[in-house]
Amino acid sequence: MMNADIHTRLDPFLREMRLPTMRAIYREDADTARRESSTYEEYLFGLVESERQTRHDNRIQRLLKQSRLPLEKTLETFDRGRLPQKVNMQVGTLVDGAFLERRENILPSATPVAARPICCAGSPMSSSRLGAPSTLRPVNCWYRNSLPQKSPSFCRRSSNASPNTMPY
Amino acid sequence: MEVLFTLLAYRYERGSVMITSNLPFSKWETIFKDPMTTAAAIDRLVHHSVILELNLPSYRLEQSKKQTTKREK
Repeated sequence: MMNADIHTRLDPFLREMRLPTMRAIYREDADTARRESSTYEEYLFGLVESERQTRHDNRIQRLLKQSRLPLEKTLETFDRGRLPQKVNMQVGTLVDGAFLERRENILPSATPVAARPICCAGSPMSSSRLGAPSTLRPVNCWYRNSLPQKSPSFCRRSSNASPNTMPY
Repeated sequence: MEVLFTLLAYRYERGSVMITSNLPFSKWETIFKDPMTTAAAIDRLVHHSVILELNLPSYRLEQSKKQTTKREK
């Protein structure tokens, strides 16, 4: 089979299987593999790795968008200098997202005027960047489906984003 | 409270929850009717948790003071 025939048949297959990154790069990667005398396995691994990485990056962007978090507020922009040393260290350990694997809850206890919301925005954003879903939402909106009449409009809007999933 | 309890019970040891409130746990009973359910919810919440005690003066107030000082100069 000629290369052109392969491309003609392969492109629709990759589109059908929803592998857009592989479809975009397989020809160029094949040329590179031929030049560098790579094995078939190495070539295939490169393609799959690229597809996987693109999906991972897209997932993070999608989760950040769904989370409705204030993206401009991050731990990098948060003035941690005023935090007590103990809390500062605790906040630092949250950034790596290991608390998600341990399924630990985060309970910032503060006076109403303290920096609790900003501090809380940072960690879920880190979580989203690590590929874990997160949302920032008032408690009364979490079970919005059970309170359709009472939910404020912004809650109903957010319910359209992920209607069949448990809120995170 | 039952709604919140259901959520916390569902998430317990399955995934993380981050909750902020201006009320300490000792005062949750004043806003939720059922003290038993409230205690059970707090129990699940606190069991595996990191508590950040952020009893600080307001960031907004300090920022506002800085801006006022700059204007006066």
